[in-house]
Amino acid sequence: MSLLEVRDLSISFSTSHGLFRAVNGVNLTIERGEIFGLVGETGCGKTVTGLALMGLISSTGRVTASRLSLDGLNLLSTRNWQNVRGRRISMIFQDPAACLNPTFTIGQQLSHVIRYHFHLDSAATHHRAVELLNDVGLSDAAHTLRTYPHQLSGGMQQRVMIALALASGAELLIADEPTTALDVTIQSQILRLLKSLRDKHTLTIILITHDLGVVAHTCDRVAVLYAGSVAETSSTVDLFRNPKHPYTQGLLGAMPRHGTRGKPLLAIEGSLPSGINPSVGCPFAARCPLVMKICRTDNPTLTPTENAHAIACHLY
Amino acid sequence: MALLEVRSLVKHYPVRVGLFSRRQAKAVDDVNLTVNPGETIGIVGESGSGKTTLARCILRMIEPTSGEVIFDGVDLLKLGQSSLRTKRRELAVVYQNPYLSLSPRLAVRDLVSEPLVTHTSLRGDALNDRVVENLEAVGLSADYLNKRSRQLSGGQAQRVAIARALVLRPKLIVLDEPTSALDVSVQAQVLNLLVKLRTELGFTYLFISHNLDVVQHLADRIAVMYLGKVVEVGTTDQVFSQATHPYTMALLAATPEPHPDRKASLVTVQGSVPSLTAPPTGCHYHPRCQWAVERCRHEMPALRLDEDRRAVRCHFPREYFQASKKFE
Amino acid sequence: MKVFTRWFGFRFAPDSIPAHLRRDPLAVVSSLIIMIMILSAIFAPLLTSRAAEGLGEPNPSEKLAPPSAAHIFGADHLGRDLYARVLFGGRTALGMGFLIVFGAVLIGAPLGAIAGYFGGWLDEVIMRVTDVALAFPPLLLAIAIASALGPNLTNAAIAIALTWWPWYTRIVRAQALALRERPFIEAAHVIGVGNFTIIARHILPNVLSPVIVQATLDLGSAILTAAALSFLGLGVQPPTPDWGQMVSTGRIYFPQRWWYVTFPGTAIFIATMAFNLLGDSVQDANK
Repeated sequence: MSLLEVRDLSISFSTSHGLFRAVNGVNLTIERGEIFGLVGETGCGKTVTGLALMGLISSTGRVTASRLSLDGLNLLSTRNWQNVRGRRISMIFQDPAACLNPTFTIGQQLSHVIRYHFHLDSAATHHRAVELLNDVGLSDAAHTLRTYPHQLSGGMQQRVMIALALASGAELLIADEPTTALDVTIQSQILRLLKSLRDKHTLTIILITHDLGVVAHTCDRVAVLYAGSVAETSSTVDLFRNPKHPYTQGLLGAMPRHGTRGKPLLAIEGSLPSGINPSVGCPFAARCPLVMKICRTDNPTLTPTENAHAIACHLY
Repeated sequence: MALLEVRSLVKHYPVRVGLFSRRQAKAVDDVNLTVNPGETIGIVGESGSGKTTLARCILRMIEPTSGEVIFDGVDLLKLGQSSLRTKRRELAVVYQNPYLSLSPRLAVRDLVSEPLVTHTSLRGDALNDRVVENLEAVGLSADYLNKRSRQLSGGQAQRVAIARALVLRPKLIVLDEPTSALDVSVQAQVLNLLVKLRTELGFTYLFISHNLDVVQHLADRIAVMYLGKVVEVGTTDQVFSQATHPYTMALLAATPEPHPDRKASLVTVQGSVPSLTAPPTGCHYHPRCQWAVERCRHEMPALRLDEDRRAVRCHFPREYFQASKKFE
Repeated sequence: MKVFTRWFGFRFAPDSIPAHLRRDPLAVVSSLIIMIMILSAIFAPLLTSRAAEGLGEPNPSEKLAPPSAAHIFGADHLGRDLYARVLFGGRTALGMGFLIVFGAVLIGAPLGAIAGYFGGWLDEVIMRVTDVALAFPPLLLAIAIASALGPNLTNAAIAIALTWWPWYTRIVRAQALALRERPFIEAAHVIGVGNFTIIARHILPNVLSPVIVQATLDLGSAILTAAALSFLGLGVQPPTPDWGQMVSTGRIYFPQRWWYVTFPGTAIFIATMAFNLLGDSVQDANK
């Protein structure tokens, strides 16, 4: 059985300008022990999807789904999110400095989480904290426990965040742009760490990112989001070898890389449609170079093709 | 003759450490750089590398501690306030975040006309025509004249910033991470625009970025900076296909390419960028270099120029390049 | 407004504020009161048949007449209709209020922008002067200035504005200090824009919101202070109608002729209250 199943997830927010549809009928199936990439540009709904899985959508938002189950547990009818958050699913964010409390040491913050979830005595808690810091590659654990967040570099802070996320014993980690604020050399260290945690601890990770390069290097499977719906989902290798949706093709063509010098990049003209009063038809129709008549009237559904590859496009 | 020549540029900041002691943070440390007319030079580095400080020194937004910035035959650092202000019409900048670098209360018309009003006697309809002409050059129409920056999308706002930079046809345009705040698809639009403007109007760019992929798309030559020093300079092809400094190699290896088949690189980098106030002894990169030896711990390597006009700040550049090739 | 727009090159529109205000009942009520007061001050001659009395012409036969159908607010010691006096007094009060606040902003804001933008010794000098100005109790200082300049409407306004500008200097300086570090200021510098143009085009427009908030709050106190000065005989001189001066004269007839102080006093109270409430709402909306 899959670890996480999401069917027809829709999230909308009421604003003073009208109902804002952030996510429109997203389907995801996450298998145990995989790193699943949720990739898209600003405003595609990737972060909101992550927050909805944690039950963290604010009261102005409305979450609907036909199925939202974590390992058989129905999250839709969950009244007590405290038993899910941390314990089953943890989340880390882009800016670790903003997530760590500046007035407590790393040790205090870590033992607080451990004690809250496991009721250990202080020696065992300390032992577990050291173990966690070692797991995330902070070798001088005894020293790190006594430091305050501001004394650590951005990369180390993100490692601490990961340790905190793991401290509660979660099996699913939602990492929302965990390396966007970091330098490339540090980014590659963190991505390597995430992969090793998946391998060693059978952690399942949903990696939310805007960077297709990060996806290529880290994820097993990936879903490309556009304007709140899944445009294309497949294994990572298949997506990059054989991108089918015009949006995915556009994204890949837009990335400068070695060898693109002197050639124009494939820019996707125009910008994201508004989430308020969206037009009928395919959300990408207005920017699509291969747009057909049907695209402007019918919204394509996510249709599976061979190799567990699914595309929401009238071309397929 | 070079359009811009930076000679031994140094910028030190006093930083307070503890209650009474102060240390110097060497944000830019003895940088030499030549930019020829019509050329695009890329400056690459991570946070703390001093790339932005270098640009601000060149533009004299901050006063460098020492050195020379010869622009168009004149040392900018020796100019008085009024002659500097006149000289500024030859220089322009595009910043990372257009929402921060464009005055929030001014309309597009006023933003783009500001350089013209400052440096020329153009007014009225002629001014308006010139503004529209430049907006069209960056792919915007006259419809945008009365909009304010927050009514524009990120890409549109950055186009306005570019129009503002090119309206006086400056000799040098400094691009300080011009696409870092943008989405990939919009970044591609802006990069294409920058290439188009360079071809049509013959601009010289000084392109600063942390992203090697973006820099190589535009740059003819690349300078890699680490902790305030230039560690490697070469043509884009030299830097990309035969990087000789271990840091450049690590940077290349760490840049994730959108291709799943690329094998994991043998070059890795440990740790993070050390503090500028207490840089490591010897070669600044040695604590993170997987090939560092005793000599690297004590002796700062000089920036050596080789036969192909490429320069590397490493004691053993060729040897390591060959060694790493052998592993692959 | 046209000249203003052309000169500074920006359009005056703190656009986010009204939307918030529309949802705040207190703001709606207080704006309504203010609108009514402004309109009735402007159209005062149309709202009363005794405009001449309102402007000061005595009517000895009706001396101290109590409120009635003919004089709904009663009449004063010279027999003038108090309703007309209060209506025309609104012109003085509101005019004084706007004049004082406008004068204070005009002196204070540029000084604050200069202090914050340039910093260094100029900042020191300007801020020490404001400290000195703030060290005196404002009413006392206004009394001193007004008596030195001689008692009349304009001098009273100048006197009060001179005690108030330091507040605007402080507000604007704090904003300018923060704005100075913003990239768009640096961008203007790199273009070669001169310092004073930067202040006028890039600093001042961005400090408008907090200044407007403070000005709205101050309008109430300005009306009150102007009334106080007139009460003391240092402000508006008879026969010009003024609420403060009416209360001052009327108090000797109190409590037997209660209407003489009550109606102008209530007018002062409502005006001050309305501006304060609106100022509070604008401040909240601006957060």
